[in-house]
Parts: sequence; structure tokens; C-alpha cells
Amino acid sequence: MPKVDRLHLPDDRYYDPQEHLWVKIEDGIARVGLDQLGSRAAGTISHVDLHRAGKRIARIGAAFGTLEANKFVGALRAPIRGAIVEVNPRVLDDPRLVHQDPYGEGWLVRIAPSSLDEDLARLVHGAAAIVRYVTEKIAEYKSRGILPEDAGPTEVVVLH
Amino acid sequence: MTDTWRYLQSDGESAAAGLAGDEFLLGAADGPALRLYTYRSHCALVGKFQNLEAEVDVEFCRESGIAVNRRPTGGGAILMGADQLGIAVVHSAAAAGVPEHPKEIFARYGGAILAGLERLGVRGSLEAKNDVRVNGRKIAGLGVCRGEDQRFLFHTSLLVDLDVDLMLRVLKIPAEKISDKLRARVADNLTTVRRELGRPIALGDVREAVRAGFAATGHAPFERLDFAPAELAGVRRIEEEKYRQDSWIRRRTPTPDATGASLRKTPAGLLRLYLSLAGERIKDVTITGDFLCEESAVLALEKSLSRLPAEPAAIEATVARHRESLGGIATADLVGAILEAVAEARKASSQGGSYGCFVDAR
Repeated sequence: MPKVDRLHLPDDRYYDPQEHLWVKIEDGIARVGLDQLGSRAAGTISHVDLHRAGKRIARIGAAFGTLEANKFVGALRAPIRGAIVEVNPRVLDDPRLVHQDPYGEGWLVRIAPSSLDEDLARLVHGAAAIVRYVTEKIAEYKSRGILPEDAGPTEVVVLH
Repeated sequence: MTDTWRYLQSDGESAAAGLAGDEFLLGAADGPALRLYTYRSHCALVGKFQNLEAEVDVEFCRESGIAVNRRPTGGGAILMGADQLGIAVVHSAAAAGVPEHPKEIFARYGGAILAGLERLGVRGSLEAKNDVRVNGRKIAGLGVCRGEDQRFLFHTSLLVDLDVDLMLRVLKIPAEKISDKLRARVADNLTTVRRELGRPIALGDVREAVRAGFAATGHAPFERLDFAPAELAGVRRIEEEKYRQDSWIRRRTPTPDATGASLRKTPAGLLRLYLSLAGERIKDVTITGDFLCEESAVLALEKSLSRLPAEPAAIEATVARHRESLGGIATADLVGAILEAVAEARKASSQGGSYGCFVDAR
């Protein structure tokens, strides 16, 4: 198992390195959430607002919701196209779930994809690529002051 | 950073017009803009995800002619008027050398504000990620919002002066917490430009210093271009369609910190309840579900529960008073759901005690 500390990333999903969102395909439906590096870099997430089920996502990068963390309010930008079929009501009530259980109870939306293969092709997948993505981003974020130089994550654990 | 910056300046903006102006700039596909403006005294602006009624004494504001509205940026409620300088920066992270991550945006433009204050002889620092403080006292709160594209709005309220008593009256702070001690603590935890200088200074002079601070940190040259008539029509449209609409101003969001929720299946239907606590009192309640009942009856009950002691006897008595108008929902179910949410909120209440952007009652 490739190892570099305490950031966990399951290898059964695809990652958007810009938005720090993960995508997991389950019976043809894409479950989407924020990865652990994204939630660490954002700071304390205090609010999550998600578009309703039925909302179409016509292009990659279209907003499927909004989050607030440390007085920053930003759009959650979709990593794949399709239509939202379900939103997670629990994160609306308790956004801390995004930090506490990013790959489980803290998921955000489920999307019925419209161009799955094409959209997945631009995402990061596979243990080696995941480690590379996160390791490079940690180094970049430390150099930019987004993560502290001396206290940021130093090791990546890819979960099989 | 060699782009020409659009510079806008105005005073006495209404709450809706001030916010709509920022949003117009954010939506425009132009280069960078700096807008330094004041609101008409006074208006209370809550953060994007706050519940207006839970944060601001709306009735007092109405009686006092204080406008209320909602910002697109996050953070706590603020009181704005002729002595608070609104600083708005609109830029695109897609442009070369422009910060992209919120922490970088706060650092970059917070630094420009610090440079402006320093020109007045006020030496501050950027603390707690997004506060500008002078000797540990907060003088400005910063916020950022970004939509689907790379354009963002950085917004700040800089205290040139502040009527602390009015702010405490506007914010919905439980009566038992309002005291001389709290007032003294709040006054001690924040500061203003005039207080730091120990002399009167015109807001216009502070504005000039802030503008110079931006220029000195590489955010220049400026071209003064206030809203043209055609643009003003666009601003008015945003004002009418958003910032004058109750659907925006009074938008309800479950407040997660110190908030409890409960979900109960009752014979009359599903009952979902969100509740927040302020100390030992209920701050705000939102009752939803698929039970049949007049919306006005639910709103009336929510209003009666607001500021009520979070004790079973008081809650039971209040619900009982509304019983006749609540259709088939049994009093016991409703009381049970409220108490369940109270219990959950108490668990989370260790984070409570913060009122607005400048008041920490803990």
C-alpha cells in the first residue's frame, strides 16, 4: 500500500484536484463529497447549502451548492455533469460531518451522470496518481501559506 | 498587478443599493474594482447563512428606521452607517498574480487595509485568519464570496467609529446577558480609527488612506468610474430582484452551531424541527414537515417560542396556547420534538455566545 501520514484517501473513487471533490460510482450513480485535503485547507466548515434534487448540471464547474468556511462563501463546483438525484440532508443540519466523516456520512450529493466516461477521464484515479495529487498539493499549499509549514499533513494514506 | 483598477466611491447607500452595487461589480466581466462607500445610518446586515430574526432585533430595527438585509458574504451581523467604511474588492483569480485561495485573498487585501491604516498612524495586524486588529482589538471584519467562476468579492466593514450601545440594541442578545459588564467588554474588545487616533477624523480622510494603502501595495493605478446610468439600471434590477425580496432577506437556514434538530413521525405527519439556543433561551425555531396546518399558525408559534426559556414548563405552556391553530399535531409531539432539539443544541452550545461580527459574550 503506497504511503506518504494522516490524510486518508480511498482508492475506490475519483478526485478533482482543483475542487478537492471525490466521486464514487455506485450502480451508475455518482456520489460526491469533499476530500480530506479540501476540508483541511478550507478550515472549519460552518454551513453547507445544496441545490435540490432534480437540478441539472449542464457543465463541469457548475455550482451544485455553496459552503461557508472561515467567512469564505464559495460555490461547490461540480466535477461531473448530470442531474442531482439526492442531497445529503444530514450535512445541511450538521456540516461538521464533512470534516468528521468526509468519505461516509459527510457526502454531499448523488448525481445521475450524463457523460460519465468523458468526465471521469479528467479526474485523478488509482493509488499512485492519488498519492501524487495529494503530495503535490500539500507541498504547494504549504508554500503558499494555505496549510501551515510546520503543522500540515505530512503523510498520505490511500485506503484500499 | 498592472491592471487599471476601477475605483468607485459613494455615501449614504441604502442597504439594498449598497449590496446590489457590489453584486453588480461581481457579475460584470470587467477587470479589478475597488469600491469604498458608506451606508445610510443605519442598517443591519447579516451574513449569508444567518437567520435574520435570530441575529437581529427586527422589531427594534423597524421601530428605529434601521434597514435590515443579508450579505452575500459569510460571517456575523454588522451595523453599518456613516461611520463605518464599506470596502469592496472585486477581482478574478484567473488573472495573473491574483490570489485564488480564500486565505490568500484575506492576506492580500487585508494587507492593503493595514497599509492604509498605517498611513494614519494606526498599526494593526491580520489575526484569527480574517480579522484586522489593533493591539488585539478588532477594527474590521473581512469576508469573501465566490460564485461559479473565478471572480470573487472581498468585503470589509472598517470601524471609523461605532455606537456600541446601538449595536448591542440591534443585535439579538438575550436580555439577561446585556449588562454594563458586557458593554464594557465589547467596547474593550473592539476599536475604531477615531479611538486609536484619539482625535476626530473625517471618514473621507480614512477612505483616502485606505485607497492609498491599496495603491501602495500594488493595487493601482485607479480610474474613478462610478456607476454609469446604464449600470445603475443593472444595480437597480439586482436590488429589486434580490435585495428587496423577503425570500433573500428573511431566508431561513438551519443554524448549525449550537443548533439542535429533531425529526418525529406523528399521526398527523412528519415533523422536522430546527432550533438554536442563546444561553438558556431559545433563539430561533423553524418548524417544517408534511402535516396539515396554516403556515401563519406555525409562524406564530415560532415567534412565541423565540426568546423563551428553554425549559419544559415554559415550552409546554406556549405550545398549549397555540394548540387550537395547529391542526392535528398533538401538543405532546410538538413539545417532545422541541425538547429533543433543545437537548441536542445544548450539546453543541459550548460554541455559543457570539453575537454579530464584533460581540463575543463568552
